[in-house]
Amino acid sequence: MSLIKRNPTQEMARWSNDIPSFRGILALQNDMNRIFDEFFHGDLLTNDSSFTNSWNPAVDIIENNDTYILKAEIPGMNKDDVKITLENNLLTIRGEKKNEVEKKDGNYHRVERSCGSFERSFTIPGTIKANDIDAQYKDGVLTLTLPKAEDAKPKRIEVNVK
Amino acid sequence: MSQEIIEKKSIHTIVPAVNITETPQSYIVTLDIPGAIKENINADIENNTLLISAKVTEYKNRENSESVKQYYREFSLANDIDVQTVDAEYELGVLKVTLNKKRQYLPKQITIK
Repeated sequence: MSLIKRNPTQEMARWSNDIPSFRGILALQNDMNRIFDEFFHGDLLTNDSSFTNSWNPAVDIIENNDTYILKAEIPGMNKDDVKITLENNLLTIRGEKKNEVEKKDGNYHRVERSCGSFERSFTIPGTIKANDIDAQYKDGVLTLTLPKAEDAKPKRIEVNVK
Repeated sequence: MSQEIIEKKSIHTIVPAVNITETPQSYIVTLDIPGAIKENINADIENNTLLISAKVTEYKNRENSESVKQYYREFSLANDIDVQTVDAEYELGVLKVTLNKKRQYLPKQITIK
């Protein structure tokens, strides 16, 4: 990989064609990762997302005793451009990243980083405290903490052995 | 390799997505490296090659082992780049490296007498 000057119009034509580009391979890799994720973690939180959007940020979902933690990689976003909604157990994260390349109007050699709007939805088990959901955006990672309701926490029953 | 298994660490190497734009004065390389700490990102220039590496330590899972994401990508640099004045900043999960062009490659305006 080198910083050799390219003809931008040629580059444009290459991205718009159906010839698999590096960007396409990255997208394919992301999709494959997601399919595997859904296969192995499908029982935890069902993904209702459609694939109609321009990009799908990668998401990790972790379950602890007291919480579910959802982490989404959305680097370079403005905090105010991310919207999180919870409706009938459907948690939706949507946002839009402005195309910073066009804005500068300079020569570009490579454009692989995702931009545009995204939306991902997750059906969450109806056992979380919806009012106590916490959201933080730091270093390009959105972290949602979903506390479990009391009846969803694992219970330990002490049995006295006589 | 076997060491990593013993340490219960799973290491993935990720090629970060990159945008490269060119302005009259410089090349700007931006890479998506979400979740890193500034101190765990390295940008080095060796033999006209720009090496970017970063380590992102993830949550501890149930087995109390940590998962490390390793980002790595390298770029060979053309002769017009001044390797002495490379600048890098990390914000909102994006690493931005500014590679200034050498003075003799900057656009010149010739004044007409």
